[in-house]
Amino acid sequence: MLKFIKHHLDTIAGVGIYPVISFVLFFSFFLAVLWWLRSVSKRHITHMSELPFAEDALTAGSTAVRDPAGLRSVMALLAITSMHALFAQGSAGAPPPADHLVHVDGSTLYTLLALAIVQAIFIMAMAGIMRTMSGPGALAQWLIVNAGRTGKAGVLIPFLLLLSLEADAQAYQVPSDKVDNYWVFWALIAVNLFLFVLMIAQIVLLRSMTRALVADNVKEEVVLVKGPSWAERMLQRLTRQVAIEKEKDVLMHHEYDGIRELDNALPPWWVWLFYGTIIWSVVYVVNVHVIDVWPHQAREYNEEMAQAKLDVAAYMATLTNTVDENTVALSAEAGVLALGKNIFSQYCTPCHGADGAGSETSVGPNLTDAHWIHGGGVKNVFKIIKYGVPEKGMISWKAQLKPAEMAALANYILSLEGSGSATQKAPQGDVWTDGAAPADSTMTTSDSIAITPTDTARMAVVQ
Amino acid sequence: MMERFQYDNRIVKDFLFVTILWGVVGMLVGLIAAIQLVVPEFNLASWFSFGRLRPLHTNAVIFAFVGNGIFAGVYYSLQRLLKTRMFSDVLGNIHFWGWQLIIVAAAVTLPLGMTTGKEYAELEWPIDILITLVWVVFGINMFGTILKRRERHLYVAIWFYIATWVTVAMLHIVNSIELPISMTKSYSWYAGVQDALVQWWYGHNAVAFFLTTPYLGLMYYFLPKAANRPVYSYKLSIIHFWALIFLYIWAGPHHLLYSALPEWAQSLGTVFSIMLIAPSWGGMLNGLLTLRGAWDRVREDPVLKFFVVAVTCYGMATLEGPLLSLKSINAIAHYTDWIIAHVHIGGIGWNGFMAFGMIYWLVPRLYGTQLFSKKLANVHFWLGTLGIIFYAVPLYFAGFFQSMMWKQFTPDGYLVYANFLDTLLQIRTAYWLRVLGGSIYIVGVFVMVYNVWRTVAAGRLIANEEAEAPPLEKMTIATESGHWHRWIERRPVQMLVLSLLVVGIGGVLELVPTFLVKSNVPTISSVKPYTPLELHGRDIYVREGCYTCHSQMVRPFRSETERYGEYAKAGEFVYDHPFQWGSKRTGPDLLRVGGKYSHSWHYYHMFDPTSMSPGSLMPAYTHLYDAVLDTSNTRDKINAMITLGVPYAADFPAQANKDLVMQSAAIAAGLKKDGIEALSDREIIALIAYLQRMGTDIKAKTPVATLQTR
Repeated sequence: MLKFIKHHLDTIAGVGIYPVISFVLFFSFFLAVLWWLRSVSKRHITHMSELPFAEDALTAGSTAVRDPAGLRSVMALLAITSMHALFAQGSAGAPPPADHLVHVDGSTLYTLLALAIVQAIFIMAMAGIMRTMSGPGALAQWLIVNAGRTGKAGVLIPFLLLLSLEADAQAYQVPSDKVDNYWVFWALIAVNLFLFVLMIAQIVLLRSMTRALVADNVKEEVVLVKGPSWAERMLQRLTRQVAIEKEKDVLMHHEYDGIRELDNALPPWWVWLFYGTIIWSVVYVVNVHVIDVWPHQAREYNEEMAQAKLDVAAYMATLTNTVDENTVALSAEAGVLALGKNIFSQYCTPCHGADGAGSETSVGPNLTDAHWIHGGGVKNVFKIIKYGVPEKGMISWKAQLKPAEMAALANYILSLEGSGSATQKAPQGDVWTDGAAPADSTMTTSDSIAITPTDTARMAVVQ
Repeated sequence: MMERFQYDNRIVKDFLFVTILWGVVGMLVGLIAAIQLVVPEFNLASWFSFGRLRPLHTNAVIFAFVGNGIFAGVYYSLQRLLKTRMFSDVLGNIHFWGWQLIIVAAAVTLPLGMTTGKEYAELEWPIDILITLVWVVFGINMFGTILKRRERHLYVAIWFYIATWVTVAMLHIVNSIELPISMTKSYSWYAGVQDALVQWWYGHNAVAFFLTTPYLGLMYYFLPKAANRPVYSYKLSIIHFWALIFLYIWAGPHHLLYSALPEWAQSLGTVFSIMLIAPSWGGMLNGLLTLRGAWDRVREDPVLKFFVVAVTCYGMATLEGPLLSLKSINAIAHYTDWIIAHVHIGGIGWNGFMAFGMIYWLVPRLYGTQLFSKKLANVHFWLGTLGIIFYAVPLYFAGFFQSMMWKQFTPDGYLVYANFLDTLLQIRTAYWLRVLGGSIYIVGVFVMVYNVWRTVAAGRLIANEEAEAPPLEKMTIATESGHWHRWIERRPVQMLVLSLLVVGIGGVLELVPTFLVKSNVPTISSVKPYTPLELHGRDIYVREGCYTCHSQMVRPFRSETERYGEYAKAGEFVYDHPFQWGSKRTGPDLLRVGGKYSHSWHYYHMFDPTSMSPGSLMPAYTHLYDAVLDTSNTRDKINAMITLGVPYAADFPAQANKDLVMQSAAIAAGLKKDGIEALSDREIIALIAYLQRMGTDIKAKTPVATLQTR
């Protein structure tokens, strides 16, 4: 399995897009986490962390409003470090794929780089402004004051993000006009997104700082009753759940051995899922069986074969060195014989023996003597390897071995002549001399696996 | 005025104990099979080889473990939901002993090779009859109890029990229609494509109505009882029950995608499987949401932990199953270990954990004591969960990667993994991990056995539990006004009939056209019946369980036609009683193996697979070389085939053995040319004859007239 990953995964066309997709997904997720972190209220976090699992313990409410011990700062830190890990993974040495989703040229990369630099300048300017606004030493004071109120995280985030800017500098590479900048392109996109988020966070923080400074004298205790959040409202619309506290309203009157039932409504998301599958099913059947848009399996197969033929032909056109049974030549080159030996030991030994000579019980004939059943010499041996002798049990190898490999194998076999041991299989066939007409290599008179005809009256088939 | 009566706990205890016993046995056989797949030397004898033991494993875990679990739960819950004792203690005992007899019969016959060759229906015809009788006894007992109930309305669990009973009866009877030729051998009435459709209409719905619906019923009883919480939604239980039992039946063909089954049937299988997602999830939702307000206790109570994981695994498996029914995904997953992983999420996740939760909840109550050790129950929970993960996850990887390897082509059009064995050896690590996962799971079960034993030892069986309830009064029309469904909840007979109609529709609409409309199986004129020797060989193939590792269905994919030959056509299988398309490729597909290798290759290969395929995981079948082929029943076999519609000449049975002897002599002669002194009366000759015949009919070029001389 690991060998498969190492050697063959990259032969799948366009496989490089998958890590990119996963990177974008993870990145978006962490962006969303950061956004939630910024938008969730401290009260909510406090409430959640103090929730007992059992609903009836809710009434024993909690009065302490704890700063959730920098919970948000911890989460922010985690989110940011994770994002960095992803960055490193995403832009580190992944090999460029053979196929590209987007073709990038130098000008695109320069644009992206410029955009990133502009954002970085803006962010640094904002940071400077915020420092100035708070006056000398006031920044530290502001930090202390706000740490209690909004939680450390709210303050830490922008600083962490600012710091992270430096780290990302390593992700930049010198762009060029070559198409290899696939990864640089995506890295730059990601960096730009990141900086954009950063900017937004800073603007929001600036706003709250401004408010804090301006509203210093006007302090009102306005207690806002927080209604259900957007998420809670959406969840309620999707599930139509009756809250546990109000369970008694939907409790049905009958009981079975103590088991009661609630009359909760069918969850809308479930109902729509059900309808959706039904609609999909109708669409599917119509497409396949009525209007013939989606293919039947026979047509799918024919199309696959036709496409494969085109692909292979296109590839073969790029090759100049093919060999077949008419063009194969005898060779004693060490590399050829070594390849042939390799193939022989992988495929041929079960039937022909490890030494090619076999023994009396071998399935296949002795390949080391001068006798050849279907003709010797490199052209005949190549032909036998390629097409096999099916009725004798010698399978055809043309689907498993390339022509060059078959040629090497044929040469190796011929190089074995005379090397058989004393226990080798007895010779079969005629002695082959070069220049003699090749024996008929396909049909033999007494086939060993042919099922001999029997009495013709034996089995009259009623049609 | 209260009536006093007693619940029968003895029968529940009996069923519960054998559930545990057969659970251990069935899982151990599974572990043996798993080890055999990594250590082929562990195929120690003819009756201890993978092909013979795999059906024993499936039958034991499905019918013995899950089956007895169903009965234990049904007997306990039915009495209490209806506030009455079981209809008849005697019938209960007959049910119990009859079912155990079936299991023992299976344990004896399956390793001996007495099998029909159809998955989850391997038991031969005498046992099939026994199953029918015992099932009827169960039905009488169950329905008798329902009719003498003191609770007017049927709780949702009982709807599931009713649907289970009637559907299993229908499935079993229709799929088991077979023609016996001896006490231990029969032939499926159906052949080829039609047999495949009937088999998987049965097979998939064995999953649906033996592994799912009764356990949903048990879930609806035991989960709210254990959590002491009301069931989440009555409306949901109504909708998902009827939708489930209606839609499930149609899904059978999703086991036959991209096969020679007519495509309209395949499409029905796909779409109905997708439509099944929501109804199945209805069960999951009602289970999990019932735990609202009780999640605190899930932390502490092992019973609830088991139920939560069980229902979650149910939800996962019932999403995965429909997704696997999409043709594009099926093209990747079929015949691989992905399917095995999917099956076991459902089997050891849903069924296993549901059973364990039920056992831990029931045993203390039956014995009037506390569970011996909650800590050990928690240990079992974690071991079991770990076991599920180690079982399934490696097999997901193995299945997916092996499929990718099968499909890989080089740019110049060659299969990258031209040797099938290479792909198998690449995933051996996953197979070892599966052994580990299964072992961990079984260790958890042993922990449970110990815990249960200590609990039982500390308590005393409450064989008859006192209860009282008012009798059922005559109902006036105005008494009940409520949900419309209440109408059928108090009419069990109508519910039975309606359930049967609902589950029958899918079967009728899929099966009948496949049988009656001739164009579904186009005739191929060159396809001829098997010779007597080949027929014997085929029966050996079925006996040894070759279909458990080898398929006979080349799909219309380039990767398959390059590797195996022309893809399968429906008309090739018309004389195959039973069909042997197989469900898994631990070894290569054999549809076109005929003529590919020499007789001697097969002779060596079956004796010692590693001699021809170094590194092979296939067991050695040395007993085929010593066993003399039993030709005393050749005439009976041919006659049976004629009855089943195979066009042999009327006078052929009388000379069948002569033909057989000639053919085997010819094969032996061929072997002799290759230096093998083979005895022509051995079973291996018959098997070679069958293997050499497979898939060659459509290549036959000679016209019909002379083809009589095969």
